[in-house]
Amino acid sequence: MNEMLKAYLDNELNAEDRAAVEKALAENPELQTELDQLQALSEAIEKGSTQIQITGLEATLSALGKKRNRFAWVRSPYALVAAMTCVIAFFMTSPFGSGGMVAEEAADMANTASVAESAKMEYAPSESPADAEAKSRVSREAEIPQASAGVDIGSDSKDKSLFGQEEAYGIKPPPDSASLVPGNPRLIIKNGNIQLLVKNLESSYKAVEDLAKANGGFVESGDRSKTTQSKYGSLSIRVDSKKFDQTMQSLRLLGDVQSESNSGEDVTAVVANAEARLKQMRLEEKQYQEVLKQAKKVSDILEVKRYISEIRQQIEGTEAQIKAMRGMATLSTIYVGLEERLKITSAPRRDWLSNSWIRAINRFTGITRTLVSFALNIVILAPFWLPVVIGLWIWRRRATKK
Amino acid sequence: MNSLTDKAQSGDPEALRKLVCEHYSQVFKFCARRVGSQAAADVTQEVFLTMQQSIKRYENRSSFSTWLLGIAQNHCRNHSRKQKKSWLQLQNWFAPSQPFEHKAIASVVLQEALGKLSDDHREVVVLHELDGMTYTEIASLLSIPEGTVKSRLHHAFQSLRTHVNGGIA
Repeated sequence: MNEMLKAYLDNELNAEDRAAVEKALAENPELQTELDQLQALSEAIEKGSTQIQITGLEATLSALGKKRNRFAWVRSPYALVAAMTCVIAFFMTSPFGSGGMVAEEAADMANTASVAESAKMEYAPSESPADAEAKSRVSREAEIPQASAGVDIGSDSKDKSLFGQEEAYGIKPPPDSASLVPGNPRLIIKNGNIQLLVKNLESSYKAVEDLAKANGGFVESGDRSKTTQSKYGSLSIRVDSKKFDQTMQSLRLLGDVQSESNSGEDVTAVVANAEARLKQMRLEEKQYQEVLKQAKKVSDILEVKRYISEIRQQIEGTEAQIKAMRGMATLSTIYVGLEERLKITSAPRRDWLSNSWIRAINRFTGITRTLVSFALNIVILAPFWLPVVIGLWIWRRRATKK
Repeated sequence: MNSLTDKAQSGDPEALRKLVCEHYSQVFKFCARRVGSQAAADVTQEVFLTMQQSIKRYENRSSFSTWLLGIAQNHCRNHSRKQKKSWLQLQNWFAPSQPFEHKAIASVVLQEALGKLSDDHREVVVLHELDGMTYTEIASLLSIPEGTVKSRLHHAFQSLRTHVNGGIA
């Protein structure tokens, strides 16, 4: 019954319990005493409770009138630090940043884009096999004359806009070469190299062959190749030196000139020296012939014949050298590289589901890499932002305590 | 009453204002007994701002007053936790300005007896005796059965009575 006394006092009992308590109270004076004590306690608690002065109603009503900014946290200094960190991390992650995406990632992204755009493939100009071959030839040429003739007259390599007159070859004969052989015509070995982008490889190839023949020359060598992107052709033609410039001019008209170079070597002095040595050797040979006629001893005869044989070999070698140089000066060599680019108008056919799947995978990979890179950048930037955040936290904590 | 909450729920600013005025005193006192008079104004303002934001979620399952005091209870608990203060500190709700004796109960003895109550008992005592909540409202606020409220109050008062009787003796 005691348990129900407090509830009875608070009027929290149903009628039946209430009646039971009232009956017990009438019968038991101690119970009544307890009830009085409970009531006294309640009154005492209320009497001794803290007096509270109501304040702040106007301020609350005013605050309710203003539209509460749900994004107040944006103005917090933490948000500012976080935003700055994210911006820096973004620039470090993105390809625009100096830290930027590594070349591999950039290539991957490009691949992703190319897959999506695969139906419209465009092939960037690249060094063709013909280019490479021509370049290696030119480099070989640059070494050979220096080694053999020992006289480097000069070379000139320029793009199509700089191409010009024969003087532009940069041929500067040694100052003593002309004076050594007065009246001799100048002997110049000319070499040219031209790379052309043509519309039709077959017709251009044939045109180069015809051009060589028309200019008093011939095709020394030629080959053709093909890749998935381009067709390549390369020819080495010999033309009359006098028609070198004319031939080069005609070649330029065959297509779009990608690169062009030429070189010249003045061998006048070399040939003049060889001819002077030849003349001297012939004179010596003639003298040995006279001695041979007068010799009587077999040993003397054999000895003189040996000398004559040696000098004859030298004479023939020098004559061949002179002849070769004259021949090279007469017929210039031009290396012609041809390239025809194949236009691929459509990508390999795939159904839409495969394409969508590939695109989705590529996007997922790209985004994942970007996010991971972004997260790594934020972690790496921790030495910068973490002290600021800790400082702010401490500062705010102290401010709150105050 | 219901019509006022309905209007406030539909976004009527005047109804909201009236609702605040009507409950401000009760909520302020409720908060003051839990976080102290100094912080009560700020906490009460937070309570009403929360009420403004979430009044559309009020579903009449309990009285509006109980629902509002539930919000106040959460705010007060968060505040106490942040301030690292114990819950329902005695000086916040029982501090007679002058010592008194009421029907043979000395205020000092009662204060001592109240200070020895457990947290659960102290909570129901304050909710019922000072905040004026019924057993049903207390049960709804604390999410406990009504019988538990009755039992806690009985034991709390028995404890107080024993202590006070001992003090007198």
